[in-house]
Amino acid sequence: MLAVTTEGPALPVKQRVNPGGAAVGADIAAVERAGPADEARGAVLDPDRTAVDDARAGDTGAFETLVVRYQARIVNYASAMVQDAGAAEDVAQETFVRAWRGLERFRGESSFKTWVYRIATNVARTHLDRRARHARIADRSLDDENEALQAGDVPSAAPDAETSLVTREAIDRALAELPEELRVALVLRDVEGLDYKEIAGVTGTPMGTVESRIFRARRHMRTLLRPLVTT
Amino acid sequence: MTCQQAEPLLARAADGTLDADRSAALALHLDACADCRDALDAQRAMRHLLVARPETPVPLGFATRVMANLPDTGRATWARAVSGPAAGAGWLETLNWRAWTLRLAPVAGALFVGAALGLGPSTEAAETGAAVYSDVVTAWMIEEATDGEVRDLGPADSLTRFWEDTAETTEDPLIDILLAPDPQGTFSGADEAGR
Repeated sequence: MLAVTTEGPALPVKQRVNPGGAAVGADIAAVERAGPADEARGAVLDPDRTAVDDARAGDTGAFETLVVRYQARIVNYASAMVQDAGAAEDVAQETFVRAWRGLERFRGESSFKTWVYRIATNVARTHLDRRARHARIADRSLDDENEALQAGDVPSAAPDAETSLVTREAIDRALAELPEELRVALVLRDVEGLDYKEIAGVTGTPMGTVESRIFRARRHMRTLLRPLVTT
Repeated sequence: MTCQQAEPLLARAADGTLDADRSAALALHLDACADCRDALDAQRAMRHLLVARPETPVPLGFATRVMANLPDTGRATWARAVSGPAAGAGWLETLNWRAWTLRLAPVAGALFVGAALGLGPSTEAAETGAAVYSDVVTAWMIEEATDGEVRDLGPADSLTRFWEDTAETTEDPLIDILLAPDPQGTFSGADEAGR
């Protein structure tokens, strides 16, 4: 019988720079270490609880702590979603502004992390819808067709630093080809490292739907990025 | 198990988060299905690539810009009125310096322009930064008046001579104002300070 591992993947864990301090990073790491068993138990251990409570009471310093803690995640997520550095910063900034404005309505039923990703997803969707409308108005469909990802645009797999930017751009262009709901699920899982339960919370969909979307998204990406995949 | 039923499990299996029961069921299916075995390999390869996607760096000053753009919800005032400054907050935070910096920016700008034009009661403009700003402003005015042509006016009393020369060829009321007596000696002081 073919063995299917149930262990965690032996993949490099992304280390995000956290100017907010090591203690904060340790809190988040403790939550992220929670594996599928914790996920199944529905364990909710929100390391942001104290900062969220203080920010909700009006402590801007506490909110700044949350911004610093999540800025790398949200900027990266926005970048993968909208494929434009300037727009990604706008989306990320709008996300935090909306979070500040909506803190009074945040009841802690989900973690702050899930909540802020949900806001970012909505802001990115709004941005993409607006961009699509403008594109239609400008009747740039032919240009878009010419800009569609071509196999020749994708660099051959080469792990040196010089190709990292090109690699990211190739991945992001391929992500842009995915239907939005597939892109959201895939980016949250493979780029941002959220677990399936968190993704279900962000997208408001059942866990089975999340699994199916991630499967289909990877299969679609495989055809777009075949030159980058070594197997 | 059909291939369609196996698909969502393949996504989980590729990143090692499939529980033991479903893992055993999937293994049975994979034994008999080459297509799903290939699909599992593809899922793993794709995940490996995406996990290694280089992160987009956070723009410099991002958090500061976010904090400067936060709308006033009224919560901050309420919290301070009730509980005072947050524990560990510095006096800058207590004063809400970001909000005041933005609100006072127009006032600072007006003071800057005033200093640049040499307005105000000081008779010691030549010894202050205002004299330096006057140099900048007069240099700009000279360039404007000459349509961008930069003239070498000579080292002595150059500004006065320039205005007199210009007044002979123009009827610009601004020139008259500038050639009027300068009791504070701002411009001549600026000229000296510039040298």
